[in-house]
This record gives sequence, C-alpha cells and structure tokens, in this order.
Amino acid sequence: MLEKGKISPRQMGELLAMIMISTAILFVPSFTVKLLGQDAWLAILLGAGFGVVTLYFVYQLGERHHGQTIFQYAEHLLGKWLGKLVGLIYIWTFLRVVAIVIREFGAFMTTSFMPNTPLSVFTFSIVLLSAWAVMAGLEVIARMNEFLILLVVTSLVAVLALSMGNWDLGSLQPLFAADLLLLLETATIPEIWKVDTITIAVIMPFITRPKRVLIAGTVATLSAGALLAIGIIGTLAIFGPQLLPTFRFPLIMFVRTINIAQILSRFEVVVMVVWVAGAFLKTTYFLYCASLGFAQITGLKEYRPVVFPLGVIATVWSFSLFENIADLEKAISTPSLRSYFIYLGLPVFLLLVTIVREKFFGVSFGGEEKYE
Amino acid sequence: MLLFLLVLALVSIVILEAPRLAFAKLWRELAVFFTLWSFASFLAIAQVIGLELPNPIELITQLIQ
Amino acid sequence: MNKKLLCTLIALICLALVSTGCWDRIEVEQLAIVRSIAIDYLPGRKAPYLVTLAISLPSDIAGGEGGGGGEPTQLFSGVGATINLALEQANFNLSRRLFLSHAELFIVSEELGRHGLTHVLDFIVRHPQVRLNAFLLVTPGMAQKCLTAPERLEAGVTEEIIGMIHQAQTSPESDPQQAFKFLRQMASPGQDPYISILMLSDPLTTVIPELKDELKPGGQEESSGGGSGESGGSGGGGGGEEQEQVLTLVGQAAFQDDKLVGLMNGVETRGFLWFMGRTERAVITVSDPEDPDGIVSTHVARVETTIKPQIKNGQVSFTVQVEEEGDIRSVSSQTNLATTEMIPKINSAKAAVIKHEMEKALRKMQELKTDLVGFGAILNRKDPDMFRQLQENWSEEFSKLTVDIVVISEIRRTGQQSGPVQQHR
Repeated sequence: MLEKGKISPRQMGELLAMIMISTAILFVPSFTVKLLGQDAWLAILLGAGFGVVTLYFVYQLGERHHGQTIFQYAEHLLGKWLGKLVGLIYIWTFLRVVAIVIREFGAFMTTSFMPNTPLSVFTFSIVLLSAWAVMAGLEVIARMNEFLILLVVTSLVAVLALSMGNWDLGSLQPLFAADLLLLLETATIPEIWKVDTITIAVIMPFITRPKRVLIAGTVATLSAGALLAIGIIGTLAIFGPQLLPTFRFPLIMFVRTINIAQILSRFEVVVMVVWVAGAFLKTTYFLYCASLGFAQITGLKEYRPVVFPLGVIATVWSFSLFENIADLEKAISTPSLRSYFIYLGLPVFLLLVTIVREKFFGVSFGGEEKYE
Repeated sequence: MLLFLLVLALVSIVILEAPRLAFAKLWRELAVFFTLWSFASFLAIAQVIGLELPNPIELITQLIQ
Repeated sequence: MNKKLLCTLIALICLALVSTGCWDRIEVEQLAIVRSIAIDYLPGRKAPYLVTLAISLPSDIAGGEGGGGGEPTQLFSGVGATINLALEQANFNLSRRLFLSHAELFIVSEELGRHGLTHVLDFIVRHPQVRLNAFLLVTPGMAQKCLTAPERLEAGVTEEIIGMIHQAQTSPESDPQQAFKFLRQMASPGQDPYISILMLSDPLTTVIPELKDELKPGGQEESSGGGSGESGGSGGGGGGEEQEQVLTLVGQAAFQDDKLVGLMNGVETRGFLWFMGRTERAVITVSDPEDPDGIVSTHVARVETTIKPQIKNGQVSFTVQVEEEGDIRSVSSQTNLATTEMIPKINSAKAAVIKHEMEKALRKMQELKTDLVGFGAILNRKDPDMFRQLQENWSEEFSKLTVDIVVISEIRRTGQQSGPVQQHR
C-alpha cells in the first residue's frame, strides 16, 4: 500500500470544501459577473450541483472497486495500456491544476501586495513547502486542513459580515435576467463546476467509512458553493454588476471598502491569509494526487521519489502555460470540451464498463461483497 | 545565476532521493525517479535558458479540441 | 550522519537566501505617509496633472496631540502628463518613499472634473496601495489650495476634511462619496454620479456674500485663530490681521460619465437628498399659519423615500413618495401650535416646502441631463425590457421625464415647550 494513513469522511469533506473555496473566491467573481451580470451567483450554485453529479459517478466507481484508486481500477477495466493512458490523463489534469494554482498564487501576490518581488519567489516557496507536505502523506494533509479551513472560513465570513453596512441588494435586480443556455454553459467552466470532486476517486480507498463519502462530499460541495455564492452576492451588492468585472480581484477591492467607524479597516491581510492557506493546501492536495497516481501506474512501492520531479514539472508549466495574467484568466474562464471529457465523460465511461462487465460477463471487481 | 540555482536545486533533489532508494535496493523506484527527473530537468532548463518548447501535452489538448 | 548534515546545510543556505527580506520590504521610518492627494488639471500644458500630496509624519499620527513644534502636514507637488509621472516628480523632493495606503482623500479641481476623471479613477483602482474607500471631493478653483487651509479643530488638514465628511454624512448638507460608490454609479446604466464640493473661502462670505466688503478690513469676526499664517491670496485690505480662509463642504457636482457638467448649490443639493431619503436633521421653516410674520422651524427626524416607475401606453413616469416626520424646534410668534387644528396646517405647509425644494433640484438635474438619483436604474430593476429601449439616450429621456412628487409630512412632537413663550402683557 502506498498510503498508510486513513482519513475520516469529515476530513475528506473539509478537504474538498477547502480546495473549492480557496482559489475560486478570488478569480471566479470577476469573470462570472462579466458573463452573467447580477445572476452570477446562480451559476455558482448550479456549478456546485454539477460537482455533486461528478461526485456521484466517482462514488459509484469507488464503491464498485473497493480499496482501489482510479489509477488501479482503470487498468483493471481497460487493460494495461489503455488504463495507464487514462491514469496519465488524470495525472496530467492534476498537475495542470497544480500549475494553475501556483501561477494564480504568484499573480495575486505580485498584483496586490508585493509588486516588485519576482514571481518565482512565490512559486518556489509554495512548491517547496507543498512537496514537503506531500511527503508527509494524506493523513497529515487532512489534519493540517482541519485547522486551516477554520481560519479560511471564519475569515471569509467575518469579512462578509463586516461589509454588510455597504451592501445594496438592489444590485441583484432584475433577478433571473440571464440567458439560460449561457447560465448552463458558465456553470460548466471548471473553476465554477466543482470538478475537484473528481479527486475523491483517488483518495476514496483511504477513507475510513466509504459509505459516508457521498453524503460528506455532497455537504462539502454544496456548502462551498453556498459560501462562494454569498461571496459573489456580497461583492455584487457593493460594486454592482457593471463595475465588478473591471476589477482583477474583486475580493481584495471588496475588502478595501470596509471601514467601520474608522477603526476596523484594512482587512487585506485577511484575504492574504485565506489565499496563502488555500493555495498552499490546494497545491499540496493535487500534487499528492498526481504523485500517488504516478507511483501507481509505474508500480512503485512508495510515491516519495516522484514528488519532487513532478513538483518541478508543475513549476515549469506554471511559467510556460501562460504568458501573462490575461492568458491565465482566459484559460480558467473558458469552458472546454476537455473538461467535459475528463470530469464527466471518462468517469461515466468507466462506470458503464464496470456495470457491463459485471452484469454481462460476470466479472467481479471486488465491490460490495468484499466490503467489511 | 538563475541557471546555477536551478541546477543546484535539481542536484539536491537527486542527493535527497537517489541514495536512499539505492540503499534500499528499490531499483524500479530509482529508474522511475531518474526518468521523471531528467524529463523535469530538461523542461526546467529549457524554460530557464529561454528555449521555446512546444508543450507536447498542450499540443494534444489542442488536437482533442 | 552525513545526510543530516547535508539537510542542515541546505536549510541554512535557503535561510540565508530568504532572511535578507522581501523585495518589497521597507521600514516605517523610510515611508512618506500620504494622507490626501489633490489633483489639478492645467489645460494647455503637455504635463497637465498637478498632484499635491499632504504627507503626515508617522509620529504625528501616533502621537495624536500635536506634540508641539513642527508642521503636522507637509505638502509636496509634482507635475506630469499622468498622475504617476507627477508622483515621480514629487518624489524628487522627498527624502522618503511615497506610501499611498493611507490616502483617504482625493480632491480634484473643477477643471479636472470638466476634463474627465477617467485617469484619476483608473489610478485609484489600479494602484496596489490606494484604497477604494478613499473619499472624492471636487473643489472650484485650485485643489491644491484646499490643502493649504489651516487646520482648526483637528491635528491636520486631512483629518479636518475627513471630519467634515463624516459630519456631512449624518446631516443634510451633501453626500460625500467614496471612490467605489462613484465608480459604481458611473458604471451602472441609468444613473449618473456626483461628488460633493469642498470650498475654500473667507469666513462668512459664502454665507453672506453681500457682507464681503464689510468684513474684510476689520477682520475680527471669526478669525480669532492663533497663527497669522499665509491666507491663500486673499489680498486683504489695510491693517489688522489677515483672515484665514476656511473650508466649507456644501453642494455637489453633477457628472455625466466621468465629466463634470454642472454644480448644484446647497439648496439644490438638499432637494436632491430628499430623493435619497437622506435628509434627517434638516431644518425646514414654514410661516406661521396664524401670523404671517412668524416663522416656525421644524426638525426632520425620519425620512423615507420610495421611488416607483409607472408605465402607461409606453410612456414612463415616476412617482416619488416622501414620508417625513419631525418636530417643532422654534417658533418666532405667539401662536399656540400644539393644537389638533394647527398641526395639520403646519404639516401641509411643510410638505409644500419640501416638494418645492425637490422640484427645484429635479429641474436642475434635468437641465444638466444628469440622472443623479438613478431613475433609470430603478426602471431597469423593475422593467428591464422597457429600460433597454430607452437606454441609448437615457439622459435625453430623463430631461423630459415626468416625476410626480408626493410628500406626506407629519409633526409628532413640539419640543419641550408646549405652548408659546409666555409674555406678560
């Protein structure tokens, strides 16, 4: 076994919620409002719903292949080479997420706080730290997250609550003015569609009570979606749908407007805390998934040797994938065929193959009956 | 300067991982590590010296779409 | 062991690299903390932006009570084709690095307003240090002059103006806006933005212009302030101490997009504030229904304004309903007003006064073609399709808009006095 630690369904839910909230809260409001105006928050809720759909398929797969990660059962289902290819696709997806998060982290820090510091300083420090955390294993990541999520969620809630004096909910009217098709399409943009639920396919074997995964995951996804939606409503209520999309990071602008009785102001540092903690955790988590996957498809006994090389690759990608911040925003704000394929098509396909082979060919994949 | 630091970092990764694996006689792990490491080093050095590499995986992505 | 040594070495090297500090590190003693920024526009020049910075010393901010000696605020100026260039030039005179995170005030000249504020607003949003909740003010004449005004009650000129702003927010003089609110009004369709006016003038002359000449020579009224500091170019008459100029925050400038198109005086601004339901603490005077010479002052305690669009045969009109409650503050006649017959009479008189004020403001706004209230935005919320048709030339539509103003006015209390002041006859 590559991973000896075990985490509880609750810890899993917290992990999921954390990786959903952390990066989305900064980048999502700007482009969703640009697309949908005052109805952007609907897309967020819808996206959370879609995330639950992905979660459901992944959960079904995990149930049917008890004790196996997606990299292992893909090989069982599709044969050695095709299975490895599927595995590679997911590893690449996870690494790409790592690269994007690293870049977002650097871009945000340089834009908002330290304009003269080179981007690479942030990149290297976060990758180094994450790689170190990945080596410690899933259990440590989950436990660390238990503390960090408290910090992140309370900070966000506090900031939202403190800004309420400036809210003008009239900005949300007229309600439901957006085009339904556009709404659906926007909700499938990976940053909004809570595709992070796909990682459950990797960590499900390490969860103590797999039966609870679906419930814990759904609760986590929906509450993360709700928090994000409230965040967007808050920023909308302050800036209105026309002004908001002109900001690069609406949340930081949002926080800059808070000034209660001339005493409570300058909460930028709170956003920074949220962001550093969130980006760090997301990088760590996805690097962990990629490393574990790579170790499994190459049949290693431990995943430690691949962590650093994969970290280096992700770092290089974080520089080479995007020229500038406009490229980055375009990449995370456009729906693509690729994301449908990876986050919906492939899991459904794997599930179909499982069912067909179980039903018609009587192959057992070690599902229910082996369980306890 | 940056290249020097990069090489330093890459070498220290090897020093950190390789001896341990060799002592434990995990040959398969060692092989995978070195393959991946050389790929990563190649990418990183190419990036630092400013070589315009078509990213193979991004290319595939373009093809799929 | 060998490996441990290596790890320690690597850690040490990393530490050495990191512990030199961040690139953006700077000590407080090396910062010039900018408190307010005045921006003037000098037309006809290649470098039209004159930026003046009011900089406080950190010790003064912390110390609070003056601490004796030394000017609390220092002014630095620079000219440039953009604000950033002007800031760079101002930096030539500075021994410290500019730090804009504490800039709470942006004062722009009327000239700049007429030229357009896009550059200023973009600067405010884009700069990593400037905060969006800084206040915007417009001043007729040079913006720079406002910062030279002597502080009277507070520690520095910025604090003085900020204090006036906070004062104005709870009184019906004007509605000073933070930059983000201005931006938001500018961005939303069917609404035009506005900025409060800050004026620098001789004391009393704004209130009683005809007294100007009489007040000049003597100069004993009001000018009791200690210092005989330079009073920004007030010429002055013969002997006697010169008057210090004072800052006044009254009235507002109406904008169309980012361009200033007109100024509204104090009365018009109050009329406008009725539309926003923001006139608590206003004083309304009506003449005594019994005795035409007597004047009754009432104090507004509660205001609620609702604006509703109405569409009839494709024709848009608005109904503005103001519900106002207040009490009597002073009476200059012998009439007993605290009777069930008199109060309704005062109520209706008061309602008429309010309505008149509002109509005045509305006329002014329609003249300027600036929809400061946001009638268009209200229509957009109610009936987006209808608004979409009118959006193209909303300012034209607005200037011809029919607005019905209904004022419901109530007197609830008559103060500590129940009847008139008793006189022995």
